[in-house]
Amino acid sequence: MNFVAPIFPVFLLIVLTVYWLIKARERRLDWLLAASLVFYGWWDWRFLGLIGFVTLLSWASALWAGDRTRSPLTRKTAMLVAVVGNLGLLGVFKYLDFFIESGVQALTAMGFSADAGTLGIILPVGISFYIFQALSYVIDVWRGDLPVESRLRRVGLYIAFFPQLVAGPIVRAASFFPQMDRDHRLTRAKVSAGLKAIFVGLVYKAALADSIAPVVDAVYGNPGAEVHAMGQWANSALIAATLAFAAQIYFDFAGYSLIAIGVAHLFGYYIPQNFNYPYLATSIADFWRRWHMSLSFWLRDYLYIPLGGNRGGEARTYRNQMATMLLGGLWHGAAWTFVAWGALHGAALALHRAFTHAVRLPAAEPLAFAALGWALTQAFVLLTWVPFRAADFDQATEVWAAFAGLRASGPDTLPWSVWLIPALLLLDGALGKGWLRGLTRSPALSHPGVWWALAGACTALILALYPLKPAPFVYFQF
Amino acid sequence: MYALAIFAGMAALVLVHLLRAPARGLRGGLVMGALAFGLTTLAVNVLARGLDVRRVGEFDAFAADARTRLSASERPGVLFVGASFTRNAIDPSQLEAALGERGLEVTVATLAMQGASYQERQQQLAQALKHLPRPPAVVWIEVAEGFDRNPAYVFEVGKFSDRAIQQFDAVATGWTMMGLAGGACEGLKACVMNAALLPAHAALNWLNVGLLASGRPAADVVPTPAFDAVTVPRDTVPSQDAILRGLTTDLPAPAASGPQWALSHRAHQRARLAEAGVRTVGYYFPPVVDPAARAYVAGLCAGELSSHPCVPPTDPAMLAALVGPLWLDGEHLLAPAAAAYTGWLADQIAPTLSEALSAALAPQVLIAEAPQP
Repeated sequence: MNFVAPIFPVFLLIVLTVYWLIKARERRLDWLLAASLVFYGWWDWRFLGLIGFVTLLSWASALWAGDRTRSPLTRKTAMLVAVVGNLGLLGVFKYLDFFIESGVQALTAMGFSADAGTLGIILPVGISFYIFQALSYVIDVWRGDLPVESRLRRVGLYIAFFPQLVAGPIVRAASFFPQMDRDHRLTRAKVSAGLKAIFVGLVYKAALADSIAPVVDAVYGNPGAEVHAMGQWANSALIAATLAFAAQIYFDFAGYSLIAIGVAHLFGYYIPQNFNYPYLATSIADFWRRWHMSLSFWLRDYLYIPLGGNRGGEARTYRNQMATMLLGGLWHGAAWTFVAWGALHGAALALHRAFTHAVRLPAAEPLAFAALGWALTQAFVLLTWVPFRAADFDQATEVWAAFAGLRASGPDTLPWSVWLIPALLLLDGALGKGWLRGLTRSPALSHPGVWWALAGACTALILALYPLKPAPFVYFQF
Repeated sequence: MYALAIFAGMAALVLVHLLRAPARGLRGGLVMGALAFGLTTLAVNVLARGLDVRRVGEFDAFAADARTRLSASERPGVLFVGASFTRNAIDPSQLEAALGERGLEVTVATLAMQGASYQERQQQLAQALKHLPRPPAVVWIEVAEGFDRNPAYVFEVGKFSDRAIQQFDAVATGWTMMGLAGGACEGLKACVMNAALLPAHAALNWLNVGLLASGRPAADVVPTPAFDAVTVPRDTVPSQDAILRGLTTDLPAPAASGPQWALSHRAHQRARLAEAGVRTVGYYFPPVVDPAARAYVAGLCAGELSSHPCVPPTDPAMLAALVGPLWLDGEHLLAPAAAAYTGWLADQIAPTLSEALSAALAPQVLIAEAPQP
């Protein structure tokens, strides 16, 4: 089950109705946990064992790691058990086959005869997200930032809370646990905010991302399929498809995040914003403050800063930055193309840091400077989406060659309308950042009749744009 | 993603960003919402029709090929409209050559798709006629018992697919309802199932679900020839004994009519074709192993369709030529058998074509009354 599956509205309606009918806070939590497990088990009930194990491991480790009566060594050991155990699970389920394949390829390249079959392990949906959440809980408890939680079901709900279970946003324990102690009430403001987030998310995902996906797949090939020959495509088609992918991945992931935020609102829970119009970023550092923010901040707080952050001199800062981005790249998928993507962004962040240290910019950037920064940043982001989407380095090199005009162009082109796709991103940014404030702030818009009319018209458009076979969420594979 | 979808996406983006927390109270909100929903749905539908955007599939590629063939020549056109029986049985190029040898200089095309119900074929036919520079002189329509008896045949080949949803526009829904109301379904379970699926599909069609996601102008579809020259039989092919028995059994075929809905649908279709300028409408059915299915069409030819050209597959000599390992399965021909049938068909339809071409008069209205569903 996912948010755009026809069964999801039925599931949500049942879960919401029962949730608000229950008056006792703990029973509500139990109900939410049960619903979350049904939601997750819908994919494959066997994965429930895995999420159950992650929950038990994190809960038990945190009991020891957060017990101030124990020695620091015992507490640290308990925390490390959780870290190693959780990352070990992630390593086995997500990366083992990748490392076996890479090892065999390296040995073969060195002239050794190597033949080891992969294990064909299925990647459990959402594992990268909920393991990071579990780690956040144990580490926060060990650091003393969060009181230890003795009730297993609460830890279970934090890890399995269905709105953000499979593709984030990654919610911090320190933000979520206090919300479980509140007596939530259904208010008009919450419903209104929740419904708006769901509507925007549906437009992003069902109406835009899924309509764009076939354009990208036609050129790059279906994700996970055999490497797709691109020879027949014109250079313009490769460029247009890459632009389309930039739009697809944003609308897909931001759409999912918004639906998650909206659904959580309907239960009275707040989960953090994940995107802040990243294609308006005027520097690469700005981009990472706007793109997949919950992951960026998680990596900053649980990897970059523990590695030393920007303490210890420039060289160590660059090293920490690069290590964080390399691991961030690998987090996205078990392939060297993702590592390359992370490395490129790490290098760009280092370059940006060096530049801003060398050139003292005025507090208020001149418009021309901001425009140049925007153009360079977005061009870089676009070019680095190539290895992110490509099936392998050969395909990525071919697309880059098309951008540089160094590739023999094929005969097939995409419809001219594909070049309009970036306009969707610009329009979204303009609307989201209030550039059309006169339109969006009109008092008439708060009239209930207008709200319903807008919602009705929007629903009609979503239905017309809703594909009968929705593309899977791009970030599900991560 | 076509321009219409992108502009619709832009409109959706603007609308959704305008949503703000409403003031307290409904104050006719639901009515406003329903009205806006209905008007937007209608606008999308009108725009899509105006721009000829529809959910395209394999059938559209075959239709594009038929249009290309008929448009490419100044010669009179002959169009065969059918389902998989036709796809595997009639080679348009061979038939064209065979008719040429008989002095009939025509262009032959087939508009055929596996599992295509009468309603779906009519939609494709109307679409083809709309885009042809001139109507074909003669249209031959495949008739078969399976399609007569099941007005919701599309559910046999796919439910909740683009193809199934595209099919249930208001007219096709009307015909299907008429058929189901007349009891044209096989067993209570099928009747209940079809009665439930029909409104669901009609609603999805009327609400344009997925129309802009997968929709494209029919003119952008890459043409693909419909003729399917298969040479390897399926696992389900009957034994040689069963084929011999089936082809040599000749059941009596008393004059008969199809179910009321099918009869009315055919009359309606003839009227539409006559309006479009088609001079002659004929009927046919490619050979199948089952003697009862052949006899059914023979009965129609002798009864309901007796005043129209009609070619049932009951000629013993032709059937004898199909004995042997010439079958894809019990209902479809392999390529060598298609060649034999196509040659025989040329002889059967030549007189009708000759008459239609030599008449060269004003369009002949074949049926005065055009019953509506």
